[in-house]
Amino acid sequence: MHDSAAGGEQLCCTFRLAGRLFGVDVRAVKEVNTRTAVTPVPHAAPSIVGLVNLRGQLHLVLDLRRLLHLGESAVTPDSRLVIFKPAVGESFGVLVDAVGDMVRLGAGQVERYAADAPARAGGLLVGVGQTEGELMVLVDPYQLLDAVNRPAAQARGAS
Amino acid sequence: MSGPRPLIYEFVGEAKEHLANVSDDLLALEQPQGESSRYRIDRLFRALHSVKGGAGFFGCRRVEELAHAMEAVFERMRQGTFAVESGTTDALLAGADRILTLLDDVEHSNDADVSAILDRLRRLVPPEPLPSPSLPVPATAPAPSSDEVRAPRPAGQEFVYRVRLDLADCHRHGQAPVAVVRRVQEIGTLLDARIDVPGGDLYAPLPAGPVWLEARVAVALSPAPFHEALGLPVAEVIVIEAPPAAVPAPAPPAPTAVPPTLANERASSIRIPVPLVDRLMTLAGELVLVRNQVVRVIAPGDPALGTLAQRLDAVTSDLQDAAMRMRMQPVGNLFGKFPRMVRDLARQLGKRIDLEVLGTEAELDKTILEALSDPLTHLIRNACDHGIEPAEQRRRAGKPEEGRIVLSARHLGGRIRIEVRDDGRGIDAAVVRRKALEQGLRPPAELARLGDREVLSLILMPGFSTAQQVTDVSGRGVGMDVVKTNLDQLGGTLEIDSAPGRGTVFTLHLPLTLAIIPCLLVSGGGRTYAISQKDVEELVCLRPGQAQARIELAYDQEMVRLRGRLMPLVRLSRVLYGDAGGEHPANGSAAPLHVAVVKVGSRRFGLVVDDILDTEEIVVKPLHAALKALPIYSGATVLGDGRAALILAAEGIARHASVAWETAAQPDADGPGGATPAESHTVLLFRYGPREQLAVPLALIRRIETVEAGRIERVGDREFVAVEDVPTPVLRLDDLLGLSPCPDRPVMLLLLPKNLRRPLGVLLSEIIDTETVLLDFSDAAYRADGLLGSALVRGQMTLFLDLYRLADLASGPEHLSPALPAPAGRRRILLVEDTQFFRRLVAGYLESEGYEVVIAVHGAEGLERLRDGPFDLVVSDIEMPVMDGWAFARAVRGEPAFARLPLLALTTLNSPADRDRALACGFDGYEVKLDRERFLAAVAALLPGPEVASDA
Repeated sequence: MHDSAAGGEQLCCTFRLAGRLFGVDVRAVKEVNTRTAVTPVPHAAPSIVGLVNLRGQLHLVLDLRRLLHLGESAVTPDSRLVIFKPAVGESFGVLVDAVGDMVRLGAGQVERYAADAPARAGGLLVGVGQTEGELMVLVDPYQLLDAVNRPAAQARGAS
Repeated sequence: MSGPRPLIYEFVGEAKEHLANVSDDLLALEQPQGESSRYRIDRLFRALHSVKGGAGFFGCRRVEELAHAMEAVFERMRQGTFAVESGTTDALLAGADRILTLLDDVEHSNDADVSAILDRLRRLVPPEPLPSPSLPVPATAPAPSSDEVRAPRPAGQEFVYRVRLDLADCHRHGQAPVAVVRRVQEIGTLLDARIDVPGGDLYAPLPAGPVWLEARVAVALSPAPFHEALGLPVAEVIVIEAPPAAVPAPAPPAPTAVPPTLANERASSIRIPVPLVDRLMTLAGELVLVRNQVVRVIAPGDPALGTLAQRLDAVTSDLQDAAMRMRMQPVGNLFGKFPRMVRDLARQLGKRIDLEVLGTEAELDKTILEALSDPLTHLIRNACDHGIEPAEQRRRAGKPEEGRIVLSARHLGGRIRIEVRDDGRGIDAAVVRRKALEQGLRPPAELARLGDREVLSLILMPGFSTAQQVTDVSGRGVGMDVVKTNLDQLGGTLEIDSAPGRGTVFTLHLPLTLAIIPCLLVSGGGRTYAISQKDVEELVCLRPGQAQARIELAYDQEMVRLRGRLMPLVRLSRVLYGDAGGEHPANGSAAPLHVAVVKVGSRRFGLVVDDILDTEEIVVKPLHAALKALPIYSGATVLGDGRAALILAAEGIARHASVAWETAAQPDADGPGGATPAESHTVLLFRYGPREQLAVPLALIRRIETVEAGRIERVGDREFVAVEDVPTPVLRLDDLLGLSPCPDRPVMLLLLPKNLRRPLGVLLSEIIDTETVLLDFSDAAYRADGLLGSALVRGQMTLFLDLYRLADLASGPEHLSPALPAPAGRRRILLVEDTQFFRRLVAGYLESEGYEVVIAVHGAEGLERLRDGPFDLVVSDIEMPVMDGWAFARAVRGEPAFARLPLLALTTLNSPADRDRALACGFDGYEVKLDRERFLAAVAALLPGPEVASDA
């Protein structure tokens, strides 16, 4: 797992899924896009929303709610695509309900999950960050593509 | 191994390019050609020299040694002190081959043992002549290697100096590095040189700081005159004792000797990674989308913006074109290896074979070029092995002893055509026919109907090629099915033409690129999907109520009968979304079923789609890794509206749906109507609008005229143009058939059909070519009114126009069914006709007049059908297999029940003698094919009155 700025400060891109606040390290994010005309791919894993064309390049869009067992995403005017950098994985992004502000977390504000914590949702979640008034769960984008084709039972067993 | 990894592969790639031409040039040297041989030797020398330089730089010692040994031979050739003979060529070719093998595994090349070949090469060159100051100066400065140091040198005659100088400093004094080296060589012999260049990038400019060249030079001059002769800002000249006592550790030879040469040769081309080219393609594609949006936004009234949009349009298209071209390589890159192969094969086989290569400059996508290598190698090998006869046999046959193979390429209608032509023994269609029969590849009846060309294509069938004895008899066939499969995968076709005793021609047609493929866009479950047109054989529309449209159920597999063959049906929406639906929606509902007949290898199935949308050239993008496990898709693309779309994979769909194939490749000959072999017609291919490729059989065309657009006059809602002073109605296909509109051009073409009572011209914008095609329409083919059907021609879906129906449509409703009152009760007509094309045409005429038409493909079948049910009239062709029209008429008249049945002959035979004979055989009337209106009038005249149908 790629560590996020061990010990130091961390800037997070925040977003909401099923009303809850999540965040990813901003250094993993390439762009946030409003383009949600996603072409579904029949027979693909349930957590795959489909393909989207961004400036001529096709990106795979994942349903992060499904991956985190928060139900199924629905596209609304607030929906956004969070597209990750190529270093995170082959051109892909996630569909989120809405994006929020950038949040800066100090070293003391992040509490990491233990490796065997049941709350890790199959390793997709890294820890919890303390922001003003709300807890933000940190997502590890590097694990997302792998989680897509993992049998659902396995991931669920961990949560 | 020194050198950073990516760079060494650059070297490998380049060295291979250099060596690719070596065998060509070597072979050419064997021919006495005088003038050009000097040029070739120079080129050979330079090639090996470059390889040697690079190998030295990267520390590929074995490659360097070999290249050096070969270079030495060429050096002697250049001096004219060396005669080229066949043994020399063999050794040099072997050397080049060995270097290529070493390059394939360049990391371990230093472990290889090359001593044998090295010895062989060195033996070619007699000991070096004494070095002297008058030694001819090579045009390029050769980078000496350790071998030269080892060469015997006379001792005591010369000083050996170590010279150290700063190349950067020389450069500032106007002396380029290569000039420095040359200067040294003019004065003495450069024994060894090394240069310290920071970094490994040969293409980077020289660094600003000092660049030290250290050289050992043997020279007859004493130190002071030597220093003077050099005339360079030399830092250090040290006398070393001569002769050199020991062989110094091999130092990297001066790389500076290489780059200037390389730089000069490569000034006009650069290497670009393929992903970058792909990215450019992608961006160009995206620009097209932006352009489309801009054009839509711009108000039509603004002329300034309109002009801008037009320019944007043109530039975008050019950009896309240029990006495409970047992927192209001349076929010469592939063809280059064949002269060598043919030469070697000819030697092995003890034959004399000359290979001529034409059209090497034609360009093809690199990926196709690579994939083409195996099939072409196979075809040429075959031609040498089985096609060309031994000299003795050729002499007896009165042919020149030297066999000849011509390999040629040229662009043709957006595709490339590659021909392998030999003047060998040819393939005897009769033998192929016999073998196919023996092996049961085709039913006898079908074989009897196949033309020679179709019979020859049987050798491409898998079953055929494995038959051992066939190779001995027919001379072809081993692995031909593999060739066919390879070409199929590329979307190419292979045709065989052969005259026994005179030779064989294999003709390959291939697309120029795989990056952009013509696709059929279909919809399934509300989404758009693409299918590559090379997978689609035809489009069929099953209309409810049509007998052919009945869907049968074989256990749980839906089947439909297409031309007498059962074809499995697969519903796209069910494949994608698992829709349950009625088992036979088509039989119950009124909506027609759109079926794309998709082929998977030699089998086919019907893919039922919601709708057939369009054809489009699409840019193929690979599937995301997370989707690779889904076999039903072969890739993805971006559609014109900017949305992503998936490309369906025919084979994956068949597997997904676990299609129950009814039969293997063989059609069942027992089906009603029998299996109909496709037959060939020469058609004119043309365009009206930019999108559709259209065709009309040449036999139906009177001629083509050019008309100036200004001469077309409008009268009411019709358009006319004067042709031979006759006002001729002009028919526009976009109005009648819903095709894409024709771009406005100052000069258009007018197609004038044959045998029309009223004058009519069909407007077209562009003639593509004529082409002999196998017409294989289904009776249920996708059929807009006015179309005979659709078929794939040159990889593109092509619409075949029904000129006569179009004429009816054009002349408006008042002219429909002119000759006949609506038939009271449906009249049944038996049509006996073997040619599918005419069958379709004539049945169309009759059906459009309201007759019910039953079909038989020859006389014998006609008799059977007659016994099945009552008919009001029989229309029969004369020339048919199994039982011809004469015999059929006599047989019909021989049965009392049919004595008064009206019989109409419809034929292309048009002599009075034929006419008399027809009447003598029992025909009541005789009409020549293609005159639709006369024919319909004759039918009407022959039909008995409405009250009684003659009972059979």
